[in-house]
Amino acid sequence: MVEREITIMNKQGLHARPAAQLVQKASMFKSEIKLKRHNLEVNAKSIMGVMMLAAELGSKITILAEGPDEKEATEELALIIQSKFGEE
Amino acid sequence: MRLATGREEIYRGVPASPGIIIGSTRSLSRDVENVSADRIVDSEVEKETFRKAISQVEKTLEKTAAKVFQRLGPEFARIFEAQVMIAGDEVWNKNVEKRIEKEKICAEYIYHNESKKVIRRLGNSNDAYLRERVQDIEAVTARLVSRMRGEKRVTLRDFKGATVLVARYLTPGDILALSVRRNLGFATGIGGPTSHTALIAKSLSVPAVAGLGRITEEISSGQRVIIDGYKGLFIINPSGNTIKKYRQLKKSESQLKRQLAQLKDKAAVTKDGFKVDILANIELPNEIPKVISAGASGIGLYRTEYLFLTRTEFPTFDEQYRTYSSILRRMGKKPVVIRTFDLGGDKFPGASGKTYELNPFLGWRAIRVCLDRPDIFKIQLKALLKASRWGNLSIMIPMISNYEELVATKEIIEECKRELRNKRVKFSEDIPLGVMLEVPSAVMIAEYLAREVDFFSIGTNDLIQYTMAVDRGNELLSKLYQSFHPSVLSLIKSAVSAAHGHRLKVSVCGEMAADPMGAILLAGLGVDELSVSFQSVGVIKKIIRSINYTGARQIAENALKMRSQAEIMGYLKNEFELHFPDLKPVFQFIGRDSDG
Repeated sequence: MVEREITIMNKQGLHARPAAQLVQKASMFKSEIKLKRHNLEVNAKSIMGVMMLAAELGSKITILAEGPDEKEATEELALIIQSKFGEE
Repeated sequence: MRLATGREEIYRGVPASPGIIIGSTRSLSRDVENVSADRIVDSEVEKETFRKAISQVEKTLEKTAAKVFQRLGPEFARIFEAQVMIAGDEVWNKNVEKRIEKEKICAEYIYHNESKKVIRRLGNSNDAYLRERVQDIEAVTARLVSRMRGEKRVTLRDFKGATVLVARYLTPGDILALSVRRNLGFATGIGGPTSHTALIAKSLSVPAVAGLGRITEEISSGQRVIIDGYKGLFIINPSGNTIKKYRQLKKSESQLKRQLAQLKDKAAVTKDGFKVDILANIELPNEIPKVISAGASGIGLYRTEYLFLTRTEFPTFDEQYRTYSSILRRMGKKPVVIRTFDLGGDKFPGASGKTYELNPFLGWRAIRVCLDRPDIFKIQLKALLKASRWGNLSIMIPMISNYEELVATKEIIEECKRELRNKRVKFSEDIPLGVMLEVPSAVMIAEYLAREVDFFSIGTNDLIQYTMAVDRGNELLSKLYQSFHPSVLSLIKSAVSAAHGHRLKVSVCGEMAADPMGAILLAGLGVDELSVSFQSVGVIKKIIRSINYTGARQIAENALKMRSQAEIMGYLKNEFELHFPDLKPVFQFIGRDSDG
């Protein structure tokens, strides 16, 4: 199990397009991946779940991955969040 | 469901988009509350049916999105993006399947039950974007539920003849998908004249009445009705006489339209040769072909905040540049006045930087927001500057109430110009800059503002609201919202004289300019240009061409001496019947309740 906290840095937060990108990326891994914010834990492979997080700019979320590729999954997801989903 | 009495019943709503439809209802239910938890025998079969239903829903959504993309462009197709993603959420759907297996309950109940959980959570969110997604989840859930129940959804083909689509609300997606049909009208329970429903219906020329309340959820399909989008009326079981009256009205409507079409290429000049230009207000770029065919001499107001209609994040520099330059290019040499963002209150996208305001109309909006957020403002200004080479651009600043705001705005514009020059980006050097006069304090210092700008535009909707201290959205106060109050006329008069003293032109871009009496009064007060929605361009041009400027001046002068709106209205009605009898057919198409 790998755990990593990360801050949302893109202006829009996890809105439609960034959320979709995140879900797409997460779905590429075998591991079970959860995102946690406050008391809410959601499946990173579900768009409804990611929307429910309502994570805006500056909010902190935790990536929790468990499975054969948990390390890569966590790293890749952190990377796409840090790169602000390619926003300006 | 309500019982049909067979008697004529008239319901009063908000006129959302002009036009008349005499036809039968088609009820579009938003009510998925009655999903019962039916036991099922074979969970494998149920899961299979569910998977099929989901993939059908997905396919329909994708098809609609493609159709909308073709007809109206990517901006509108975007509306479906979220719905397609929701329907295709595999984790979510697997979870529904798991519950079917475990609980042996029908799929529609479980799906509906799961969406309620998300909706409850998103409904409480501070983020406007996420709150709006509730409608998307509701829409997908409704589609799924009716698929599972074997009900047919409203499609483009399955109704014939003149139809009034009745629903509690319509999503922009519903409207776009349905609007390819002719002879279609909308009647909705919620929504006002500036709601998305109204805006899209107007820009697609579909007659609509909004704000009708419970009745839209109680009425069944197949009832005979009339909607009157001019007056905001919804008439159930119209009597023979009513039908006759409305057939007659529809006939004169098309006669008038033909007449007005002939004026398309004629100038807006009074009988004694005085020119009052008629321009168009737009919210959406796809209105431009209609603006051109209506014969407007330019765009008097493009409300850029409607860039947020289909999204809530801020549009990027490139997106803004593309939108502005395409509008300018399509309008050619004709003037295009683009107003900088009038955001704030409830119209601020995203959660960032937004605070709850007790009194948003007296709060942080328009230029006040832009000056506090130069990051947002400068992107817009630079996109405008760069787009300026494509056509005849003027920039207009909303909600100025202080001299310093104007000075600060001009400094920011200069700063943007310097930055563009450094990057060797070309732009027109002489873009006219104007301010909107919509706060009484600005009108009273108009003399000083006139020295700093190239034109004035009077936004009567807000000017009336701020002068009368009346919230124009508050139904309890509708009698106090008075376009023809002496104070309003005298403020307009002083704005005009400040402008003319400095050889500036003044336009009026509020609803008052689209009211026949208002238009005559404004011309008489010396206003140079009237800017109205494309639907009103023809009517107002006809009015200007039917009057004498000297006569209008005299009327305005007399009106300025009166004590109240009641006195002024009484006087105007008399004058018009006396002097402009040929304008009578025009008046029956203007809902007197909807003046601004």
